[in-house]
This record gives sequence, C-alpha cells and structure tokens, in this order.
Amino acid sequence: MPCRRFTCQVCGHVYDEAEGDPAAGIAPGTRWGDIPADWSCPECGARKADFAPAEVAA
Amino acid sequence: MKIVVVGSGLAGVTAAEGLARSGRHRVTLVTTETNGYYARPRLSHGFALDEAAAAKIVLKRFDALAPGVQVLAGTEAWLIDRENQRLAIAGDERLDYEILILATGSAARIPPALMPLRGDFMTLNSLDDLLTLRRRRAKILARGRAPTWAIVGGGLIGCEVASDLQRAGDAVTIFHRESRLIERQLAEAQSQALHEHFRACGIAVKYNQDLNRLPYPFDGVIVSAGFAPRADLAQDAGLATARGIVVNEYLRTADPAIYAVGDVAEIGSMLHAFVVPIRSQALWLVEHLEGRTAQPWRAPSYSPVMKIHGFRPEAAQVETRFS
Repeated sequence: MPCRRFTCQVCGHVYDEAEGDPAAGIAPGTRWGDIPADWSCPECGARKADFAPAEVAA
Repeated sequence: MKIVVVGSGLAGVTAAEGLARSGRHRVTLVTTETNGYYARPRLSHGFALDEAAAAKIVLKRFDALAPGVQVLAGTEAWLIDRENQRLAIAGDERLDYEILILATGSAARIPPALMPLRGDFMTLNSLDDLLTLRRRRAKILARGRAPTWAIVGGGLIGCEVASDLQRAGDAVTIFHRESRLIERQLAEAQSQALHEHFRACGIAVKYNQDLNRLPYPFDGVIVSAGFAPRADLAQDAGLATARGIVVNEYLRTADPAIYAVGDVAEIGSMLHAFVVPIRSQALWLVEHLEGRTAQPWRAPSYSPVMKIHGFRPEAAQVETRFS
C-alpha cells in the first residue's frame, strides 16, 4: 500500500506516513492508524482527529 | 438566524463555517485581516521556511471558506449597538444580528514602559508581522551578513521564535525578566535542559533583565511578552471584561445575544489560548446555537505543543495550567 498523507484542518501541516514524526517518536513508515490517539499536530497542537486525508496532489 | 462573527482566526472561522453548514442561517464574518485564514501557531516557525512554504501558511483564502459565509475582509467592527442588535462597521455601515459572536482574538502584549518606543521594536502576532520580519531578514541577508536579533521575553513564544531564527541562520539573544525559561509551562529541570540546549545551539540567554528598556544594538528587537485579548468592543458596549471578555460556561456574555469564543473569552477567570480548547469552544458553540447540546462547554484536557527545534520535553512534565 502506498504511503498516505493527512492534513491538519487547523493549520495545514501534512503528516506523511513515509516521513512519520520522529521528533514525537513516530518512526518513518508509521501508518496513520498506528499513531496513538493522543498524538497531536507538531505545528499547532490540534488533535489527531482534526486531520483529514490529504487531497492527492499532482 | 442572522449571525455576525467578528474575527477570522481559528475561533471565528470554525464557528462561522460550522453555522453556515446547515444553510439555515445568514452568517457574516467581519475581519480586519485581508490575507485569509491561517493558524497563528504557524507564525513562530515562519522564518526557517522558504518563500513557497511561507506562502502556504495561509490555509484558505476568504473566498474559499465554506459556502454561506459572507466575509467582510479588511473591515473593522467598531461599535455594538446592543439595544437595536446592530454592529457598526467601517464605512458607516450597520449589520443587524440576532446572535453576535466575538472572536476578536488577542494582540501582542506590550509592557507599558515600552509603549512610547513602539516604532523601535516588532512583535509577531499576525501574518503581516511575520511578512514584515521576513522582509527585514531578507534585506540584511542581501547585504551579505547574518541578522542579529534580540528577543524580549523568554516565554513559550519567545523561545519558539528564537529557536526558529537560529535555525534560519541568525544570531539570537533572549532577554528574559525571570530567572528561567518558559517558567509558566516548564518544570525547573526542563527550563534548565532548554537552557543547555540553547547554549549548545548558540542562542544566548540573559536572565533577570529589566525589560523596561530595549536591548541595543541589534538588527531587530522582537518583543514577545505575552498576549492581550482584544476585549474593547465588548467593553465599549458595557459588557463585563477582565483580561478578556467575561462569559459564562455557555460562552455567553451578560447579553443573551452576544457570545465570545477563543483567546478573547474569559471563563471562570481562565483564558484558553491554545488550539485544542479554542477549536473545542467553536465546535461546541455551533452545537449549542443549533440546539443540539444543552451541556455547558467544558475545557478538554490537552498539553500545549512546544516547538523548539531539537528539543522536546517529556509531555508529563509540561504544566497544562496557565492563565
């Protein structure tokens, strides 16, 4: 399955499964579903639930 | 209902879009902003970005908000006529409302002694502020040297800004009134760890400083001394204000037609100036005004994020209390 991207609806930060969020202990390649529910947006602090699948960019 | 929202930050935009969704209300959003919607937390890390990434800080232009939100951009709301339920806006116009939502946010707090020196320092409170600072950086870089900055205030935002300017390649000195960094949110050991981190990065920190004078000489001085809720609209209308606009647990002022939400809303003498509670307030207010909840708003638990490059305190040690 290709890596997917999710966008924070509050600030626009993009979580890319390929990159993960190493600063928060989320290794590259971590699937969205495997991120703990208490993870928050590294840019603005919004909740995981405030992210939506990113529209596929060209 | 005729609903007027004042302010286009997270609180105002979330409430306006949520209320427009049903198609049952006429929602007008009045804002002095012209750039569009953006999340303010992005600003403190807006220096180490290239131009293309900086342009993406604006998440939605105002014409891209949810259908049904009419936006009056670049427009100041200046007086509430409570008796007639009308809001006076720039251009001598009046907007009728049945519900008025004040989401005016906050300005940078300026220590009173620095007020007369307003032209000699900058703040980072809006996207326009960021763009001004970025232009100043570009100008100095074009002369072939790294900019030097004094950050006045070693709280959360001051430290984030210092970290990002350093990451961008600049020389940074923090002038802090207290004896340790981010003393409101960090435990003492974490302040110490941050101090060590900054020292390793080359960020200088001066403690116990008299902040009634501006540091000199630097290419730029950025004052980061907290925030001041913009409560004047409510105050001028005779509504109770303290640090912010005083509201009850239903986010309502003493006037049943007027609500306050976001940075500016003071609930039980608390301000909730972080993304999680602000978004929660705005979404709750939509539910409340749509008649879908009778429960009062309750502050959710959350930990504020701290965006310092290469430094991450243990979450458990971040104090979530603040005022």
